[in-house]
Amino acid sequence: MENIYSEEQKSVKTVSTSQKTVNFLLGYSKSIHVVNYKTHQFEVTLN
Amino acid sequence: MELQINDSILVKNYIDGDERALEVLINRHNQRITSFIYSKVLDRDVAEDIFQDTFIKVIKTLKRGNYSEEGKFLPWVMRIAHNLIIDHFRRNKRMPKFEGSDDFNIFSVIKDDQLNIERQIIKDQIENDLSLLIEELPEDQREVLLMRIYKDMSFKEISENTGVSINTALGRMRYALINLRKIVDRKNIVLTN
Repeated sequence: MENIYSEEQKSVKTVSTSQKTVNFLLGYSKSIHVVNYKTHQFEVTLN
Repeated sequence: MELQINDSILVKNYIDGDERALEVLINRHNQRITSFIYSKVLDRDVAEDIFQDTFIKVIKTLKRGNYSEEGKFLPWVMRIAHNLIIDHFRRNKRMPKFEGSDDFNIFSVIKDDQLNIERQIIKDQIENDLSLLIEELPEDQREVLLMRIYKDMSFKEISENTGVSINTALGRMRYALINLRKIVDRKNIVLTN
């Protein structure tokens, strides 16, 4: 007899990160600048 | 039909300064990455924290120009998330965290031994009152009580120090306590904390 796999499937909960966190990341991305000087890299975060 | 721009093109655009490309990338993969993290940590807040840390690493790597287009963008981000999940579990192993549920609160079982300031004042007051009461006891009883309670000496040591037998020391201790209770009753003193 065939197995009914659908009955044994694990339910995977799908979740998303909140818009607040996404906005934070977008803001962070806009604020951060990398300055290259000779062989060095400097991260500058602007408010 | 909506045209979907390839991840690698979005990454390139982002590196070239197009901030909106990052927004598209985050929104495109948000659910998949967060669900992956959540499936491991089983905590919404932790999953969100790890998602944030993952993209902070992504942003830094891309801005620094350290990203090499060897693999695909999503598997690369998933690898970063996976490493951060491992870090999270390592950290928690070093410092296990117990979270109570609504039915059970760990602080109802474990209490802080440290007295609060009010209880400390009451305790000091009681000890002060008690030392005044002890002064009222006869000399021999007071001596035994001080040695036993305040100096934490055994009755054998008390007997050796006072030159009386152990039984006599025990008897003096017993009378000291009886007399203390009598004084407390007579003067209506309340010694409770």
